[in-house]
Amino acid sequence: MMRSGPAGPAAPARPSPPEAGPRSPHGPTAARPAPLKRPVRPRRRAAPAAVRRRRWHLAGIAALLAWTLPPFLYLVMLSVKPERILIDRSQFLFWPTFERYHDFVASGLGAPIWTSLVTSTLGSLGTLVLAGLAAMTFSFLEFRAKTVLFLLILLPRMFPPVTTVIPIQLMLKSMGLIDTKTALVILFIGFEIPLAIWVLHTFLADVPRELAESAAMDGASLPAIVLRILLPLAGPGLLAAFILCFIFNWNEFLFPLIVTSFNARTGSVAMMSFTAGYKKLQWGALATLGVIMTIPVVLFVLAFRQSLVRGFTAGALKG
Amino acid sequence: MGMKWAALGSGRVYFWIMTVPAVVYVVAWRLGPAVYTLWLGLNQYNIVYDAAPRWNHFANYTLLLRDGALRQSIGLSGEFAVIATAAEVVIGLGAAWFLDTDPPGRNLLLGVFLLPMIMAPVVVGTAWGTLFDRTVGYIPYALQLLHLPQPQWLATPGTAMFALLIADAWEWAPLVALLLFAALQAIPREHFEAARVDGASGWQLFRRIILPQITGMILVAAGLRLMDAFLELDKVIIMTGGGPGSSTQFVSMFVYKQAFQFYELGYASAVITLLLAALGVAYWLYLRSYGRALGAANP
Amino acid sequence: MWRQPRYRVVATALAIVLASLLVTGTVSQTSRAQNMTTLTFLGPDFDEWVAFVKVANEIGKPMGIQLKPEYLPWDNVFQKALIDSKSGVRTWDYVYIYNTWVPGLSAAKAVIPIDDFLSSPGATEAVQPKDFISLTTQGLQFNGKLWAMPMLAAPYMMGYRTDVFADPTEKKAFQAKYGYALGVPQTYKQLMDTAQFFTRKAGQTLMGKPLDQDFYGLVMANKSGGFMFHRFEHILVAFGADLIYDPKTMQPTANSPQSLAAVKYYVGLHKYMQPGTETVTGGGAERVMAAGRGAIAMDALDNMLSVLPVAKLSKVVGKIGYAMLPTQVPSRPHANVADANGLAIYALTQHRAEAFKLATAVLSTQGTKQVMKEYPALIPMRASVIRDPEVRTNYGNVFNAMNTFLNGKPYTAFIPPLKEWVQAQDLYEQALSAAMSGQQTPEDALSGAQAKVTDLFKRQGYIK
Repeated sequence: MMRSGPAGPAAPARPSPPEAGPRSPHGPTAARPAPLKRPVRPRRRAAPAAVRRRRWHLAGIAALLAWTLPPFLYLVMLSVKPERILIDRSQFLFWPTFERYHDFVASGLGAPIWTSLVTSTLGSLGTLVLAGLAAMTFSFLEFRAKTVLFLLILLPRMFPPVTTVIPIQLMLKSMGLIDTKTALVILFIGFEIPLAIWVLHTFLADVPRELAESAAMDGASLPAIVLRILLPLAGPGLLAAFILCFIFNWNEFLFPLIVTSFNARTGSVAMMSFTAGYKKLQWGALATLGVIMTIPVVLFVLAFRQSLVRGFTAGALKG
Repeated sequence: MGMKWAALGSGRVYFWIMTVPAVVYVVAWRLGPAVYTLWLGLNQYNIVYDAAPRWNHFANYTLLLRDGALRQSIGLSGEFAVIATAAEVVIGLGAAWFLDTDPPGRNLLLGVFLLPMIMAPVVVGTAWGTLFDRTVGYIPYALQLLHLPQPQWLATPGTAMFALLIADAWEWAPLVALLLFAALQAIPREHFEAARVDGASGWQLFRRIILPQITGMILVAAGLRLMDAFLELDKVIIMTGGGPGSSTQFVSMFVYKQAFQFYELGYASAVITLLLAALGVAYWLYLRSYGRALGAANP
Repeated sequence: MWRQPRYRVVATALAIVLASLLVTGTVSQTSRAQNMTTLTFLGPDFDEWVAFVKVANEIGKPMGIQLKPEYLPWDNVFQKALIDSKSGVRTWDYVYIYNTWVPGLSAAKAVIPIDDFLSSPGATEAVQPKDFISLTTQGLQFNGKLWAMPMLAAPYMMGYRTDVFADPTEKKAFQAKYGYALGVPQTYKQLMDTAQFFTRKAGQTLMGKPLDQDFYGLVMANKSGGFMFHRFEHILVAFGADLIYDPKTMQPTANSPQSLAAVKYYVGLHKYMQPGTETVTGGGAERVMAAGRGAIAMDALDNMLSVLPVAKLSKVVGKIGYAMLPTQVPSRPHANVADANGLAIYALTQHRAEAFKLATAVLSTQGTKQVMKEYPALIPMRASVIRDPEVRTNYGNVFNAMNTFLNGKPYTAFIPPLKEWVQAQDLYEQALSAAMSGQQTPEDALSGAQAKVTDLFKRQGYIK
């Protein structure tokens, strides 16, 4: 399923922009045939068509960016706008101040970000270990209880956080783990197992079965098959699953809000403490924290766009 | 597909070692709590003033049936989910269609377009909450410059809902776009060719060729969004807190308030049970249409 | 297949970055551990508490105690303290407490009353209970015990623009329009007139000069989550209504005629408040007033004092007078509801002795004066501080306003001792918000609130 998704191997080979050769008699992209491209029929007035297409593209790009970017730019602007003119909305041009970022580091507000980073990372790694092992067996073995087990694991994906927060609070209470980073790691591992299994499952579907099967015929044990054959090939899937888990953990709000107090506050909960400052104008500091919360996400998008796209496509269709 | 159980031989032990941890984990931390919620829904339990949960003869459920505020919340959630999903499908379809025409820098564009759904919902809520704010926000400012009427965005029932819808559409239209884009890319290009040769216009092309091919995926994406939007919580907490009055008190907010403002965990659990049941039905329907959609996408 | 080498390089790089971050972080966190006792404070991000934390760290240093705050939105502090104490969270030592929360937190045994520490003469000496001004500290008492170290009182008053009220053009126009002389409103009718009179659009004139921005008759903070109710409650009391229920019969009276009249009045008054009032707390509202864009502010005195006279925040320095709230029912002159903020010691604290020691040191006469240096708008709750000549000269604003308040002999109501008070208040506030936003008529909204409060009382077994 979705094997020809946007980040699939064919995607980078899609046609190049039309300006590459607008005067070519066979249309702009005919010179470089690609498996999925849509050939453009030769037309007599090729140049106007290409120009129109280009204008249409530029207009579309502008619309897309105009839809997506303003809230980001607004947050960035608020975070560097000097306090004195913060509520002066007519002033767009000003000398930016980085005071708030400095304050952020100095005031120890980095601690929640740090907690987020540690718990999200450890949680995602834990998820990867548990889900990775399970996904490999699910992908490469046929057994009777498979469907039942698979459903059992994927079922919790449908429970939104608010439905399980009460018992989990009580469970953590009885284990004495409330307000610890350990509790968050335990929860984060559990949250994304269904997602990770599903994503890995779709990625592993690309690994040729014959490899594992012939190894099994040769008498290799299951751990050997996993270690020698599957693991090296599962890299892209693991990376995509890790990024997805990390992002979801990083963004998680309700659970950290309820089960942590002081020692394990996360970045998204710290955001909340800023939204209702009483006497200060907190907008600037709030925006700063928002920008800082978004930095890892932007980095992930820039560095791993393709894994992310493919992972999300698979993850969204969580069965 | 895959290897047979028998081929494993002594590998069975490893198999259990590999699979069981994940299953146990999920059962303990995800399924277990859900089951406990079902049980708690049958008890009176105020976490602050009751020492322990006590059986209360379905009182939570009788209360639930005559709770007007809950009914109103469910109605509001439904309204929100339907409108938000519709907007997301329209915007997402537009974006996916545009990306499918291979604009220059398409992959980077896709990445940028995906940002809203990847960033923290709390940040999304904050950004939009301040954008709509009368003191620092640029939306009221733009209206002021244009001499248009100036609603109290987050303090008037209709516009507070509208603000939440905008924020939700901004955050989640990318997901719909992503799924539809994948579906569009899967359509064999020869189909376009044949239609073009027949002299079909752009709109006809869309209606006759593209739409039938991606209807399944539109349903899947819409189903996904409907279920998630119905339970929207994070942005509501940040932007309106359920107000003004109870005009944006969606069902998740209702549960949140019952559990963590009134401490009635028993009643909150009963409401959650109801939601889980409804969700179960929705999920079942979704899986059916999902199967169909996949059948259509991979004939 | 994916091009393998690239993702491997990226994944390795990612792993190295994360690992190094983890290592450096662990090292830096362990190196921070010192021979200090660390106390924690759960409170709102208000300037006075930021000042408190700063002074507590100064005073605590020689004692080997440091204080670390965790700030939450004001209304969430209460919820968090309750839930955490019931979940066995041992993290906290201090919890900020507002007078309306005292019944709830004490019934849930979330905080330890100060009286429990007063077993030795030394402890009593440190607290100096007789020094508290009882009109202000009464709100922190419940069942005959004091539940928190009093920190700051916040009497609700009006701040008005002296220049605008004294302007001859305005005076003349007001007399012509309303038939009586312009002055600081003494009744709620006058407040409505005055607020209406001063509500101007950009382009109209104020004091003879054209305005380049809108000007508002009344500036208030009406954010939901308690802020709205704590401004409205004074009007509710002034109109002769109960605070939501009658404590003698335990019957909810949310939709009594007086309550309805107060809500209708408030909905009318809302027209003359600054736009966006529903989304701001005191700080946001006072910024509008400080920008010179309002005629009257109704707020807690310290909110006004912490913004309006501060030159770097305010354009109206020296142009603000303070006055008692207006009167509606003659038997309740200048009615207001007492407001007190204190520092409570968390029930599950691991540092009982240290917490008590530091709290009494910081909120002593000397410590309070030190906090006032950081937060000059602090309205102290100790008589010795108010009597202090140094305070009189250095904090003239505070002293004069407080004098106006005490000499005015206002009718002061206290929040009833109901452990579910915060919930009842939430229900009423939601109705008020629905009425103000036009979601429901005041009648419908209040009937709804009445039904919900009745439900709450029935569930708790107060009424049948």
